[in-house]
Amino acid sequence: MAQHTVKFDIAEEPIQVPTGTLVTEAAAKSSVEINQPCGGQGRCGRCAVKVTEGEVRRRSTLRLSSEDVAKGYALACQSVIESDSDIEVPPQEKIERRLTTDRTAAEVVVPEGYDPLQSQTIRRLHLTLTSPSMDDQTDDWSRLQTAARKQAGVTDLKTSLEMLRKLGEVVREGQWKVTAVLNAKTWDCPDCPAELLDIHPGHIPADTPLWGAAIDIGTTTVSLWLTDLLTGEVRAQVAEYNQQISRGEDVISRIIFAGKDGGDEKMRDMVMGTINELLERACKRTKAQPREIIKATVSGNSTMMHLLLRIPASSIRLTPFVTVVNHIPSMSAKDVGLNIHPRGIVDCLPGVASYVGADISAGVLASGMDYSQEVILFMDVGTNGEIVLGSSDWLVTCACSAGPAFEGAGVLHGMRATKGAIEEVWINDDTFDPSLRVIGGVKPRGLCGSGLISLLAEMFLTGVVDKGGSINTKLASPRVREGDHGSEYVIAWADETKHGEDIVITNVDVDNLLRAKAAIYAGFTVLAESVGIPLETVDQVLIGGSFGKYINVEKAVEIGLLPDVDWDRFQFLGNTSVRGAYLALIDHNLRRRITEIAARMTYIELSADNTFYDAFMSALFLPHTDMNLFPSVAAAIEK
Amino acid sequence: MALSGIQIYKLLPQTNCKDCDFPTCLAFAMKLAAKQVELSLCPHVSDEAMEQLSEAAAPPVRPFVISSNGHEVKAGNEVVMFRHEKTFYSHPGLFLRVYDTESADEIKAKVTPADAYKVDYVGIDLEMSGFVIQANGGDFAGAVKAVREASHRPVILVGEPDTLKTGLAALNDGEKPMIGQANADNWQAMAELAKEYDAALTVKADTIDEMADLTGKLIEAGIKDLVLSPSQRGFRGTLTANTVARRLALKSNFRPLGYPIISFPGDVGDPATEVVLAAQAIGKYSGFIVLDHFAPETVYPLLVLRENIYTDPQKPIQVQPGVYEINDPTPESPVLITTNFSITYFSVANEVESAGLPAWLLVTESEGMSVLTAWAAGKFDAERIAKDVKRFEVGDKVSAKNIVLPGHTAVLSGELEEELPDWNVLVGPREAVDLPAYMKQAV
Repeated sequence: MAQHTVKFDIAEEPIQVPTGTLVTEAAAKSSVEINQPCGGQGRCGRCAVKVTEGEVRRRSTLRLSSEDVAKGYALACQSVIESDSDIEVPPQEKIERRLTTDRTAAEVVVPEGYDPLQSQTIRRLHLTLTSPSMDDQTDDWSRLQTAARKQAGVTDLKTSLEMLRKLGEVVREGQWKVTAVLNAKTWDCPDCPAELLDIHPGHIPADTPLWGAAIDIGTTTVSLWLTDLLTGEVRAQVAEYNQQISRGEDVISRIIFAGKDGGDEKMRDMVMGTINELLERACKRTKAQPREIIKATVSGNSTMMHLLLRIPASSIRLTPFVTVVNHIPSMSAKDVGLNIHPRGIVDCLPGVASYVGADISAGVLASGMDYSQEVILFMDVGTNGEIVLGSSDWLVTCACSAGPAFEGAGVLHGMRATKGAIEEVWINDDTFDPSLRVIGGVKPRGLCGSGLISLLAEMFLTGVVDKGGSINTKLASPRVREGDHGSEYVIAWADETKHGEDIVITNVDVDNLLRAKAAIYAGFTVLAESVGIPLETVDQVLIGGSFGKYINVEKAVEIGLLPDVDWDRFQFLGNTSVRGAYLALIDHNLRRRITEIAARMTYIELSADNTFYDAFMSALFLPHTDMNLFPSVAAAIEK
Repeated sequence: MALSGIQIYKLLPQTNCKDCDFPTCLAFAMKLAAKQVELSLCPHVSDEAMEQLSEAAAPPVRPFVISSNGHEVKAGNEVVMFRHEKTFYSHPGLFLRVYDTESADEIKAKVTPADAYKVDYVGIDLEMSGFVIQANGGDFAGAVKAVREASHRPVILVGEPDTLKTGLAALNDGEKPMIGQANADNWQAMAELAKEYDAALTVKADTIDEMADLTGKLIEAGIKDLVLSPSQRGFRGTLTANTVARRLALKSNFRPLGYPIISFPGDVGDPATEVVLAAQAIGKYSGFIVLDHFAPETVYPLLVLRENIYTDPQKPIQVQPGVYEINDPTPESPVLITTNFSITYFSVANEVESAGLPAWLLVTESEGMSVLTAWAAGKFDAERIAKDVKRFEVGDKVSAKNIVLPGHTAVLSGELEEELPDWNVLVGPREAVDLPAYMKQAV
């Protein structure tokens, strides 16, 4: 096959590729990074490159205008090399750090009476071995076993070849005093022999931290809590965007990318890169070394877990939507590729189903609802909304695909909750002019999720949109007009915005938001109906995930996203997934409880019958077709 | 009184042992509440709980089959009054009736064409379900034998107990027939026969009260597979009797009426009225429908009606996969690809048709799903599309060889090029509404 020379402007060297090579593949070969937020599906248009010399064949030009194409632009994931070419890669959009992820640390209270001897599987022992002599030629390993039995009551100890290779040197260097690190009384096998994970010469000072890490792999953000297992204290909280975003913003895109040649390794390397970077960062803050971390407990949705372990994830995407594994056995850090102590324990928490993963099991543990006498509704809303309803008696769960509208995607001027995002809107009901609150107090660039909820609620209450979500074009305001995408409402005029363009919300945007909120509310309805409990009788509504933190409950109820119960029954819990991982990390009883939670949660598949669809259609209104479900909103409209 | 999933769950062991093959006790309880499984799947349920649950857990309309020689007719197990609430499950069987006063040759002449009748209707075989042999003072055993010589399908034998016995003896081993009709006078003898021959039993009564009284006695006598046979005839009587019985069974969980229903449109005599009565019986709750006349031109619409009412409305309506011609396409016209979900098909076809643009529309086998759903489920990928391109010989119809993918599945373009090397693969717009503009510009 004919070979062509391709030169990327930001690559060191030109490369040779055969005819028909995708531009993204050529870029990878040149070590050039091109973001593919949709995973290379040709949907998002964000991988556009400019061909300055030669020709590429464009299979698809979706999202490119004919002028763009005339200027030489092409979608890297949809275009193939057919001649020698020079290609310019525009500056890659950097993922902007959210204002909130890394700086505001969650408040963590160590469980009262935390005793590592009782709760921790990892033990660090100071052992003093008898020294050998001509009269006592007992081997080193037996001496260690004896000391462990006599001095710490460890009757059954197993080891590895690696430990035996260093044992002789360590005991002599420490002059028969050693510090041994063991893993024992694990949740899955409390009676198994303790395993020797590491051994150090001499007695390490007792107050030296014994490090463990609680990790939550979110589709968007990876969070890590570096914890001292001796005190249970979280010593550093760090978070970073999951590098996998550049190869797909949602789990489906990533599963598809992972299914391509070498994609699974790339995905694994990316998330491992993110985690290892977080480990470095957390360790720097605490003056620790990553290899001193002896145990990591990992939470995350089922797709993230499969991709981390490089277990094929394609069955998650295809009907009937099953995972390869929900309950993952504990593994060694070396096997997983995590940059902690090579013999460190990696414990992946159990999930329930393809779309209700370990993050939800961990969330239920963190919320304590599995011990509650009251009926609790727990939701974790991101791109997918996972919902759990129940109490100490029973737990039901479902996942509804809300789509990324509340994360700012799929809405014309939507954006993440970063600087310049409108986060709250008030509309004057005489003039229909809005007042805005913008993150960072700067000129606005767009609307984030909380801003969209607030805007939609205000538009509804002031009559800018009707119950069905149509913008009232007869309104006496220049802010309502016909735009390129149908009717729209202007939130900020060009001279008030950062980019000098009007910020608007279109009828299409409103429809997308309605669908997203209806999917979530319909999930509540189906769960409540499945167990025969009226939604308005739930005693508490607990909201996990970063999304929840900034939602104004009143507004969210007004658009019918959240059920209309007393506001004091709502509580925001923050990132419950990493909190659950932390609890499982420090206490093996809680770790066992997570397994029980995962095993007893009853998963309701929403696509199995029509109930969800009916509930969804009824919820596609502001706030709902059945106003009896929203008495407080009905009262507000009366006013 | 029907119990909710949670109420049932509280009576179960709550060990989540999975011995019932459901992941949790609650999942099993919900299936029980929906009457979709039998309590007997749980080996650990306590006697006390069993007693409380068996009442609530039994299907409201008892399911059973009558069968013979590999043929079977299912009945019962219905859970809703209207198809749109969920679905109807057991297709009513159409039975042709013969009389023992007819000669063996006459019977065979009736049975043979009805037995052989078979029409392929969108992949479903439309057929008669079986035959009724009615005693009328003739040679009953001879009539049964004549039917068995002409057909292997299940039979319903109607007559007095002594007569029935001779007919039952003439059946093959292993058959599960239906016999009738038990009434206030003969029910004990009928019960004996039903037990001896493991037959389903029809119960004939004039009023709902008498019916319930009689089924109550038969249940007590140990007969399980009962069929309600209201004595009302005519449009109004049948409709009222069937509806009242089914409503009491489903809405009030009234056990004595929780059985399939048999109707006898054949009793009316006039063939035309018979067909209309049979249509009513199909629509309103009959599980077994007895006709006196067989003619393809009247049976066919009845069977099609039955398919339409008894298909699951929860499953998407599909379009037959294939190549559809829009506005008289030429070999130069493009080939558009879409899935076989009917709404998807109509969206695409209507846009192109109303724009007056000629095209070949290739509808692929994608199990009735829309484009993105089918793609996400792995039912609309390059391999499947290429297979249908070949299966429907699309290449022979065109010279231009331009094939257009839906924009939502741009990701498939590379693979499709590999699968179809001699085609020019194009990516169309994401929405059908943008197709005309796209076709004018790009194709």
